Amino acid sequence: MLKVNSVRCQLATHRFEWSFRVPEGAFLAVTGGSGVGKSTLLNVLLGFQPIESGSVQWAGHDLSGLKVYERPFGVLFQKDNLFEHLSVEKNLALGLHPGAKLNGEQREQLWLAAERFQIQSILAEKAMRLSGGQQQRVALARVFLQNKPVLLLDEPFSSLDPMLRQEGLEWVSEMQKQQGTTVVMVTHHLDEIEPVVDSILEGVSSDCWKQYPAR
Amino acid sequence: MVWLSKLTTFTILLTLALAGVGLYLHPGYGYPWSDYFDAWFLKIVQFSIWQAFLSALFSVILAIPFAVVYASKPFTGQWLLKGLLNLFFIMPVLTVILGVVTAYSDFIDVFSLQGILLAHLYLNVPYAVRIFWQRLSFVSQTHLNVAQTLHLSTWRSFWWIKRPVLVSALRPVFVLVFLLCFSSFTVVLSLGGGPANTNLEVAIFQALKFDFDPKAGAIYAAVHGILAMSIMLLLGRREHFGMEINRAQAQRATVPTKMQFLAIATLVVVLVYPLLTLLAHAFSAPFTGSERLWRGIITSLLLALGSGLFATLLATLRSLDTSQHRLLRFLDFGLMVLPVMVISTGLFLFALKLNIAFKATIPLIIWLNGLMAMPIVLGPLTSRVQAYRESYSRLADTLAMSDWSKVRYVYLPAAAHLLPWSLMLAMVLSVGDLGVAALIGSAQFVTLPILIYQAMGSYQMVLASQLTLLLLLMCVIFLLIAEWFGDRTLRRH
Repeated sequence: MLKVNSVRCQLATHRFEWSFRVPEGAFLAVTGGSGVGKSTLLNVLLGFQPIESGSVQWAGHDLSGLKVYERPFGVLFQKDNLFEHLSVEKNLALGLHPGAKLNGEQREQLWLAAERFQIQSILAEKAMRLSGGQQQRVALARVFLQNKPVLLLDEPFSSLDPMLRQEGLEWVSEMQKQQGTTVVMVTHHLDEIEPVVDSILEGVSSDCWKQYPAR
Repeated sequence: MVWLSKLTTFTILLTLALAGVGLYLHPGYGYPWSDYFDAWFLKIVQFSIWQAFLSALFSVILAIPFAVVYASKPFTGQWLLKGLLNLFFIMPVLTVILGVVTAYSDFIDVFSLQGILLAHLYLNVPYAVRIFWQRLSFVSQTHLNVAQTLHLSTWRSFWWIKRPVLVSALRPVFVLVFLLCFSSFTVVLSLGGGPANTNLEVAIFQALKFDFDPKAGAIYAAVHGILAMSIMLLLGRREHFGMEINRAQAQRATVPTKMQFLAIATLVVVLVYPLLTLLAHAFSAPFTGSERLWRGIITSLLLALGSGLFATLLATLRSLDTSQHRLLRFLDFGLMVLPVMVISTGLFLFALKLNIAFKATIPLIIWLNGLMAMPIVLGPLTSRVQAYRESYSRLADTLAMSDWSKVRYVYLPAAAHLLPWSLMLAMVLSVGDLGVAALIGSAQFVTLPILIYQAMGSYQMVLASQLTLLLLLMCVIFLLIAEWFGDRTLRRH
């Protein structure tokens, strides 16, 4: 269970406050108008944004004081999810080892992930050469390899066309079902993802958030 | 990894410290202290300030009208003009000097204050035009459109919108040109033509080289350092040269207006004329090489390569440093505006004390030229690494990448394709050096610039022009290599 208990923080003149929980293996959609604090919430979970009070817990453990990479989260940001100047293979390897030095078993893992996300043929390409859809699959493959229990997504597919957004969502949904990954996804397109979502966290204002089950 | 990126700052501080120690420990013979502060000394201080003031004043006055006309509207082929202006900023000073001598000696006495001013204008007006032009092109198009809806005349909209931009650029440009000219060595040495037109830099050189009076050198160096620092502190308040902002709405480049065409043609003719006379001079007699000449060329190439590599290494390390504290940035640029002769003198005296002065000639020259070229190649490297840092630092953190891993996979690749270009630019900046090599080298030590200076000194103007052309050719080759590398890496991406 991911528990967010009365977490408060202040950014310029905005006061934020969140309280919600996500059971293990569930899919939470985070929605609301711009400026309401959707991205700020992800920054709080990751520890990029310091909090004033409250706590974030995963599986009963308080996450405060943990470095971002010690937290249970794999992340896809809005942009810059791949090191564009590096090859697809290096990008994936960095998900397995922070110095991209892989042992035999990890190389095997990388290969299987590449197969799974249908990117075997482009492993040697520079990330900047890829199409939007290919980049999306590589980024997903990397978070898959990181094998973190929770996947945080900050509208990572928003710049893609609806077909590719749908495809991205299917990959995420599959990871949720097969690996039991917990998913927290910020979205502007609630209608598109509602069928796969378990519950919804809606920001009415920066300090007023409502959580309710999906239809 | 963190300490590695501090190495550049450390090197600069070490250089300053060693130079200070060298000046302090100077061999103690000479005259009593008070004897140095005589009428002649006052005269060279006065002259140093006066010629720098005039150079800066005329540079600014001449540059502004050109910049205003160029910035009035983007025009096709403006990159070519910008390239020419940039060329004059990085071109070896000796080229400009020889150009001025060959072009104007029939009309004025070039070996005088006039000649010095003329050469300083050739070196600094293009730079000033470039800065003012760039500043003016940041003026937001929206503001100009608003002015139109308010029915402001061209003059009024200039007064209300562009004048403040120009005024804000005025002081930094004036101060920088002043400092560059105040520390001018090669121009004043070559065109000074006698004791009447000597500045502190040349006085230091003469004291060390001809009078072998390190005490005088140390005194002049200290006075120069103090004056330059005071001017910088008095006038050089922090200024932003906002290189990264772009015109909000990029206008389409069109054919230049009549006014622009006139301004372009005038400046190009004036700038190119001395280069053409230089060329004509060089080809007026056949070229005869000598063993000494080839030695000079090879030494120059070696020095340029060494300085270029050193400058690039320092700049790369510095660009990886996250600390952008004001003092550190001041230090980065310190060696560009601080009098080079002062630091060279200090280091040279220190080396003399250690009895290695003439054994360490080449490393000393590489060290000093590298440090001087570093700030110029640093800018682009830093902004590139900065951009990558902004895009990827969060991602790198989530992947638990160590500092070393970040450098290896993110920042070094970011800097990598700028490195050949940086190296070549630093080489261009170093290959033309006369001051440091002439000060530090023994009488037998020759580089291409030293040969040019000697040819000029013995009024062999044709030979001097030929050698200068050779120097220019080397620079052009470096720049072409840089372009070729740049193009190749672009295609690879």
